[in-house]
Amino acid sequence: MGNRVIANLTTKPGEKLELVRVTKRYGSIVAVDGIDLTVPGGTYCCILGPSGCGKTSTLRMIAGHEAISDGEIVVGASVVNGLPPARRGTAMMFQNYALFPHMSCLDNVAFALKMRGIAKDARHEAAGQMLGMMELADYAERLPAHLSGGQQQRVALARALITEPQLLLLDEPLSALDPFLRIGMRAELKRLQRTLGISFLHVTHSQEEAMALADLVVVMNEGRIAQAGSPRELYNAPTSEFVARFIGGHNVIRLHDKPYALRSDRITVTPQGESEVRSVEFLGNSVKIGLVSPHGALTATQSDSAFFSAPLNPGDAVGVSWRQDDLHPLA
Amino acid sequence: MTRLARYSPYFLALPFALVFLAFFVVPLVLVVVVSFWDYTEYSIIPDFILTNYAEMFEGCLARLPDLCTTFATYLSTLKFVVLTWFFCLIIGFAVAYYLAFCVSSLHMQIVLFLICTIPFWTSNVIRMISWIPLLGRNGLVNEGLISAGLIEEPIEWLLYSSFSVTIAFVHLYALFMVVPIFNSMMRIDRSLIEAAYDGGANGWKTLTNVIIPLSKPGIVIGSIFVITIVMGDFLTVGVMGGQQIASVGKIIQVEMSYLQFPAAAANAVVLLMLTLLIIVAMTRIVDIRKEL
Repeated sequence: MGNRVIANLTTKPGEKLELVRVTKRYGSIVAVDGIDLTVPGGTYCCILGPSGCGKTSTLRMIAGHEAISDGEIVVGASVVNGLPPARRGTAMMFQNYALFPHMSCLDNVAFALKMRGIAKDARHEAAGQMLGMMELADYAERLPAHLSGGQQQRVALARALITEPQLLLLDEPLSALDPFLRIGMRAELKRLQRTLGISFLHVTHSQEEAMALADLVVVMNEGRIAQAGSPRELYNAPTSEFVARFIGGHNVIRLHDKPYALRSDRITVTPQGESEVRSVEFLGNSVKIGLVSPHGALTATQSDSAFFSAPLNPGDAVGVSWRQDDLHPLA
Repeated sequence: MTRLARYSPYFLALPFALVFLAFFVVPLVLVVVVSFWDYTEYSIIPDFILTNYAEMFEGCLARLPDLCTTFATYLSTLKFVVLTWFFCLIIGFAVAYYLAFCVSSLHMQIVLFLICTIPFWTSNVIRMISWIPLLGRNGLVNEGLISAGLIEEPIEWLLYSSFSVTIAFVHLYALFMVVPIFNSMMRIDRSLIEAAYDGGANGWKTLTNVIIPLSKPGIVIGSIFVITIVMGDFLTVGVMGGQQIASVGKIIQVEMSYLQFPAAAANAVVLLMLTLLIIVAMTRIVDIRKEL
């Protein structure tokens, strides 16, 4: 689908999104606690966090589906706090797609145009083109229930994009797909975002998804932003124990009562020493080794060639070491 | 084992099939058969004649555009059907909408739903006649209006009129509309309403574009309940109409009381056919199978 989209959707530089001390309270519970965030136009931004961290509330406040308790949401140059979704320049793709089950795909995609009062012929033509771009032209007259999960998702995407939003909001868009489709769709999303030049705001609990897609990863925890940055920044220099653990691939160790992050592929495992191998997992191009060391439980990864040149078994005594540079102090 | 397993669904269906056969199919077939029988003042005679049907519509076509008794009665019954259906639909939809979308907690929904059913703990007749002290010539409504100085003479059409019959019908059967519509509405995924809002729909457009189309199966099922009940009713029309208003059910009851079973059976068959036609027409509009 991706490449042909260029032809019809005018590529504008996307608008900037700004959150200023945005807060969401449900009674006495604070779901989102005064977060500040700037997403430059044309950014693929992933909001990452465990369930209950406030990421979905944040997305829904930006979308206009949740009232904002405090703070300001700015899209482009205007504060959109009180505006209905359709006037924010945003569009949302729902987790379960939320396609109207009684309408054909064509009518689903044309829905927002119908609401704007555009005549039937005109809106059907526009929706037909949009479906064509998504390679769904043959399915225009079908009901959503008669489509596969991946096709339904493309209809939902077409329905969201028909209003030419400045910001597309995606709520766990890939979680309903099977793993193979998920990886394929992930690439499509990224390509679509590049082509359209608008910002995508993608909520996910999968760090792998966020790493693969995002220009900007925002890790949230307990209603606050734990860390925001490019995937590389995050992975190379997590600033807190939570981030180091959540994005994976890191060990958190305590030296002189201070926590440090240490990438598991930076640990060198040597024969003989004070540590013991507990588990060995073969992951294809790498091998994950679970260890018990004087610093606590550690995970080390080695390339498969390195591992199999001197294989280890659970119970083997080994030594562990790392370069001082690879230790990142945590807050 | 495998042979038994193959037939086990049929065994499981058997008890209900027997009940259905004994209490529905057999009586219905008997009614159809008897409708072709002959009768005198004191006996019914097995036969195959069409006289019962012919008498029912005797002179009806010749007298058009004037209405014969049968046509006038059917028309009067249909009038009540349409009025009752219309008001039950409006009230039923509104109540169901409130329960399904405006009440947010499931607990509260259940409580309010039970409150809706409380009137059904008393019999139809009691609920019906309780309107009489309210609507009568010296009833609460008239007394109230007179003492408020709004009218000088009591309003006569409040009781024993089409008005009181319609009120009683709507009161008795509105819940039959609430339940299936509520059921349909509870199946509507809430994210669809958000998706409509996201697409720029206001409340009214969401209602007409999303909620009403998706509530259609419930509307049709509720309509079938209300229409079939009102079509065959003779009690409510009798009590609330002061025995002055004709209905098809009333004709059948009178014929039964004169032991004219074949004539009553013929009337019943015609009524059944008409009701079935209406239901078939409604199910043509909406496929209710997916709701069952």
